[in-house]
Amino acid sequence: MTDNRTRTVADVRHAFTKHGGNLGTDGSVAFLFKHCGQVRIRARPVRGQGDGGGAGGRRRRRGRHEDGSIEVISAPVDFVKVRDGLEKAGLKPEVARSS
Amino acid sequence: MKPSTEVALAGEDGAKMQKLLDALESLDDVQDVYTSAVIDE
Repeated sequence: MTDNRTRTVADVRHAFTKHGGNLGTDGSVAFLFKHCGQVRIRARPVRGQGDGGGAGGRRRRRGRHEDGSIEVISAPVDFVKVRDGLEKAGLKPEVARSS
Repeated sequence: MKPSTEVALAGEDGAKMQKLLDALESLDDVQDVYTSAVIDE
């Protein structure tokens, strides 16, 4: 991991063109997404290890992932409240982030 | 970041998209990847 923005952009652009896409300008698809708080809880024991974090939005159906985990989405301002509330209720988040 | 609308992709399109997402995620300097694609297997 580096802080070299230019190199990162070059790498990302290369990945897009190699796979039949194009890198848009800064923020050009931002309107398609909403900032949110995201807390993921394991709802039942998982045998194998999943792909970890993965891309948000992939293979998701109404907040429940394929591996049976549950995702709680909140407004960014409520993220800390939601996370702490779930933790207090004894639910240990696997993923907890505000983005 | 949550997509406001999702795009379902299946078959060849889904596989292509998965490849792109994997390529992006495999980059060292990429911290997060967000997508509106929902891939049906």
